[in-house]
Amino acid sequence: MAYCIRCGVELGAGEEMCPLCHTPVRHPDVTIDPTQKPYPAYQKPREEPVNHSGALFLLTMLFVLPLVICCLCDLLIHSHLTWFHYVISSMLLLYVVLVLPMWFRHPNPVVLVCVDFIAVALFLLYMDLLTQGGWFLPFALPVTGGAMAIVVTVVTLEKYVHKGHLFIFGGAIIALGGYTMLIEGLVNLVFHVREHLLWSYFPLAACFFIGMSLIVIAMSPSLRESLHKKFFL
Amino acid sequence: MKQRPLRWMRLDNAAKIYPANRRRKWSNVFRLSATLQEPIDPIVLQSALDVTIHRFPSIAGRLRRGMFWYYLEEIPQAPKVQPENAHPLTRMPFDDIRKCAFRVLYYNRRIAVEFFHALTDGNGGMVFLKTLVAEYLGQKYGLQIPNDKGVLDRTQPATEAELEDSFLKTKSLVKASRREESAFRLRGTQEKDGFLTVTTGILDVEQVLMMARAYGVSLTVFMASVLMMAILKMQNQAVPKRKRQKPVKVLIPVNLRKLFPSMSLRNYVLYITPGVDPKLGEYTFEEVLQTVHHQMGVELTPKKMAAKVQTNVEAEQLLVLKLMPLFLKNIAMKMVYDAVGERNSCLTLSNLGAVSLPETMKPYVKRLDFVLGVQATRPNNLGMLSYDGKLYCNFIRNIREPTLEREFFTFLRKLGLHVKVESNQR
Repeated sequence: MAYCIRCGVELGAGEEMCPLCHTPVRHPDVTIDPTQKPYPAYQKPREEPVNHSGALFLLTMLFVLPLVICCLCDLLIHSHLTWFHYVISSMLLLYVVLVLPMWFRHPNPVVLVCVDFIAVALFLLYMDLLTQGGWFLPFALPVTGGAMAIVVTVVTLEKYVHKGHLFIFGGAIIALGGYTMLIEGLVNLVFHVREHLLWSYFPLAACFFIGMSLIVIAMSPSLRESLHKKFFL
Repeated sequence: MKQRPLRWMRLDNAAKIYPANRRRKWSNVFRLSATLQEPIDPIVLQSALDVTIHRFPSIAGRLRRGMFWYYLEEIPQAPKVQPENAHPLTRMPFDDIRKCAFRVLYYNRRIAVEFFHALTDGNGGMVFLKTLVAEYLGQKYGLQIPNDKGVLDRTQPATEAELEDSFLKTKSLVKASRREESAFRLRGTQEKDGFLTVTTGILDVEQVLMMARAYGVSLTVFMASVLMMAILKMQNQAVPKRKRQKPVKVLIPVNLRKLFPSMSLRNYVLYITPGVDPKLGEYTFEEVLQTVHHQMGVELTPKKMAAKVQTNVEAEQLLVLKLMPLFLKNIAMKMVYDAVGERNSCLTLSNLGAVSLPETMKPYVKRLDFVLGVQATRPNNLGMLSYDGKLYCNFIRNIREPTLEREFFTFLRKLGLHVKVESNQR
């Protein structure tokens, strides 16, 4: 029989080290007998998939319940659906953005972002039709499309290119500056605010400066190292 | 032939919290095992299990969902016996509990049964294990084992007394308060894959009893005090400022069958939480022993226990709670458990006491073990029993550091007791 030289306890025949202090067994006359181990050899357990269906059902019900109440209220007050259109379209948008990703075990973020932007575009189209504003095609569609192009590009690059994060975000920030110019240009064109661009130069300049800084940092390893030294957490 | 309808029953008062409180990575399970002299024959074990389950409709059961409460339903046929895993008490997913809320495992010479706690407590589980092993030995070696010392007759149906919820018969005019000061929380580095390390310390029960008697206390008080000394030392290292230290308390389940007449094989335990407050000053071992001894003397009376049971039974019978749909009840019960359930103690020390077997069985059964699962938020637990002159202390933990076990067993060594240690460490 072997004893732990640190704890003084007798060790079971299958122990290669003391279970209390992890000191290896040292005894000239004792050979460790692995068949005497009290439990079978360790095997990594299989990962069990998590079933979220109960929680998802509850969440879905949380969305459905106010919809039913609003629908009944609108019908009882006005005898037909009036403001309920706004409620249902907003709730659907919220559901697509917040809850839909939870339905999938390993959702592809690129697809999810595309779906989110399409949902936003459809929501805006519905609002436009309800209010008969006529602003969807000349304004909302290009603005949503521009934002979608930037975000989808960033998400795609981040998912499939596993390096060059500073280049990606630097470029995205510069594109964001350009996007503000697009917004101002469209506002001027569609809503006849002004003949020329005015405020969008400022965010463009700021975004350009920040974006270029990130790209410069990405290109210079020594600069990265010194910044890391200064700002590590 | 028309099948008889499966018997179903309400969960007993103590069991109601367990299904509500289950988590994705944790369910409240415990394990009893018997090590025989020869390797286990799984075919005979399966056959023995097939026979045994009919005597235990409340234990050989599965958990089902009602609109307002969970309930137990008898299983139509025994589950398949399985080879053991590298660690005991692997999580019991709720899908499994819905099919069968216990499992029978074998490894080398050992038969182990792991129970979801809603089925029964350690004492009921021990009766099941003894009866299963008796049936196994009967089939394997042709032994005629008398139905004695916890071995039940497999040819007879279960009696109503075995299936009753004895909590409902334990009456008191007053309710005991549940308010308690929260205890020191043991911590460590969590095993990422959910591995549970069991460290078994084997002591000579006569040696331990002699030492406990020399101090004028029972074996449980003695071991609980050693455990507290170990935790006090750990807290001194973790929280050096005495003013910031918290009470060191150990939750000790109490077998109510010893206080009230009951033959029930379902849960019939309550607990007490003796402890010491290190803010009051440094404690010697003798002081801890005396404190625990007197606290247990005051708390462990039928009147006090009946008042505690009354509190739980009245809570269960509240109309608001009864009418609450199950999913809301689960949320509410889980919130209450998280707020107070495990905060009142550092860990559980469950001592099943001296286990005896019929004389015919004894030569075939080398060893018995009791392993308690870890709690949801506390990393250590300790299950103990004595059999055939040996005291088996099974520590379980879901953290890497064996600090508590080391402090506990080295304290016993310093007292002059011989300790043999084995484990499933990786």
